[in-house]
Amino acid sequence: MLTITLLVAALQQGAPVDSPRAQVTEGAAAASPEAPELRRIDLAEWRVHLLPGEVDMRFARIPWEPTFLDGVRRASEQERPLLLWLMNGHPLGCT
Amino acid sequence: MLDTALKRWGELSKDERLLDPEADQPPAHRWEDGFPEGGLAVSRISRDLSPEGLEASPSNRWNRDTLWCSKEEIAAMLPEVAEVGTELQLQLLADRLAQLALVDDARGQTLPFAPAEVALARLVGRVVEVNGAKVTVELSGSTRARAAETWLLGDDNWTPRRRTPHGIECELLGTATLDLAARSFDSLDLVALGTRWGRTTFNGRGKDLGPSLVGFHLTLTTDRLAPTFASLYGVDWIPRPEVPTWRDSPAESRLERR
Repeated sequence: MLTITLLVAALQQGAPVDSPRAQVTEGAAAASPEAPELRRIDLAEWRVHLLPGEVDMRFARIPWEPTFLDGVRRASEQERPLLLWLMNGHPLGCT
Repeated sequence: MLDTALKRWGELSKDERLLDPEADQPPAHRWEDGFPEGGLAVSRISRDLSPEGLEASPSNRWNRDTLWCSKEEIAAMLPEVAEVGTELQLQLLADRLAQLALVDDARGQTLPFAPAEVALARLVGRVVEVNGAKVTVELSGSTRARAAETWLLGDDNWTPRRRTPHGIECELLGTATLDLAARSFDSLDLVALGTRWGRTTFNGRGKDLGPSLVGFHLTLTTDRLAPTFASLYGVDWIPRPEVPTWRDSPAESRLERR
């Protein structure tokens, strides 16, 4: 019993109380996946893995204007209509 | 619907089609006007990660944001001179990363952390090469943040109606080149891998309370995109709107926020 108690105590000391590994979600202790070991030798591979690829960045091919007014001005200059497509969310919210 | 709209537009006179000159007023405030000229502008990518790590295909759940530090803030973090082996404590950058940038937004809009919610924010640069004023540092660090139900960042346009507990912890590793004479970063290549749990109202984690893995990459950018949480930087070098952005008309300013 003493061995088991010590083992449990040791395991609990492994994660701070505010760590995901110490969290309980929706009434059940969730198994926390270990983050892959971050090694300097793998940094270039992680960069490629994390950065958006060509398909991810298709939206950037559109010549966006920074504000709606800039778009209206450009539409007026070109005498063309402007399509306004709105979505809810914070303007800086990366929705 | 588009066909109808185009038909109606075709029926307008030329004057009606063009922008009313009286309406051609520049916005009174744009957050990107706070872009830190001569300082640090960082592009930050977040992406969901599989437990298989690099063995898995990259998740298509990713997002981007920016992080800013002013020229003065960077200058205050960097030494006048450094030699191989010198360790630089990049505390302000670590704090800003932990509070505002290493957040769980890979699936949607999320919330930042208050300083009191950051249990750990550490970023150290160890000098590995010196070439005159140019210095190469290997970066390493850790962050850990946990938010409870109480919002601690005051009345802001990010103030949530309600909040659920969530948190994230990350390990960071990377490289940077610094110009100690110019007091600036010449390059930055920083990776963070971490574990997130819980959810915020709009971050797409309603049925995915985790814990699960997320990754981040940070590098310098010249894009003048404002950081998501620019309004919460609490610095005087980012101009704030005269009228809070959630009350931008007299009628709205009389409304109680619910």
